[in-house]
Amino acid sequence: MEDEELIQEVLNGNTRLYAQIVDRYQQVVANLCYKLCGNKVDVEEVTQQVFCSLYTALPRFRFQSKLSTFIYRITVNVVSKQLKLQRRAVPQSQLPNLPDQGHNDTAEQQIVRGERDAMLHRCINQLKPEQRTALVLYSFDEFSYKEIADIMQVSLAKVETLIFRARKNLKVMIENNNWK
Amino acid sequence: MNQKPTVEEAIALMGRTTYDRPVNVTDAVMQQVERQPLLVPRKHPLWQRWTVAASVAVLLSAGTVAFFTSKPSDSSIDAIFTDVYEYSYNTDDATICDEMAMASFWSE
Repeated sequence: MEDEELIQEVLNGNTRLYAQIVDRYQQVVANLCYKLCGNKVDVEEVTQQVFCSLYTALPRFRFQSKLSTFIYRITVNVVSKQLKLQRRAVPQSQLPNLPDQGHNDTAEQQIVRGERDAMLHRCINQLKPEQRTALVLYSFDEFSYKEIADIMQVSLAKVETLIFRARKNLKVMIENNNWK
Repeated sequence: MNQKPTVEEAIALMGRTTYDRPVNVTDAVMQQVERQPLLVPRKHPLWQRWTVAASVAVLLSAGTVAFFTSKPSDSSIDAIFTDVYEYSYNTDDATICDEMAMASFWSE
């Protein structure tokens, strides 16, 4: 069943079908939450909140955009609220696990690479929340600027500015770090 | 490896970062969802919305016209002065009011 049909069924009272929407999108929402939150601790909880918020927001869905865009918009809002509530730094131990990129690296090279990636993540997490969100969406799923603007509910010009500033600030932070 | 990473490298790193644990929040979500009714807003028919909009527009126009065309009558202004004058003599803080009332009276 297509997304639109599922939503229509849920709105008509067949709430059990909402489980199919959750099943379909939970992994991708968790992934986005993880990128936006920067730690694994809250991901499941925030993902749950996103789907509860989505359920109450479904009557407002106008079928003018893709359901995924609507879900990402809610995810960004829920995560921003969560981050505002917590206002806590990303704990060292919770820095993202990355897929192994250097299969032929020696053990030492792998350690150096890991430290390098962790340092880069620290730089990314130091960006202002709006700039980081724009950059995460830009790196995520190859969204266009227009789609990022739709998700963040800001103008196209603002998205361009946010990404430009995020890149600029990131460059300064990278320059100011000591890299091995 | 000794070189400083670039911004593009950082963005690529963000793109590669994935949540590697399996997620299953369906049951927890459905438990919460089944407890709360879905509030689907009821759409009013078009003729009802037009009637309400037209009524509001008529009332607002009539009120605006009435406001700008009406003038206070002389008798109502007299009544205000009389009230001020009487008030000035019947209260404790009469000094200021008395002066105001008298000034108004003599300036007539």
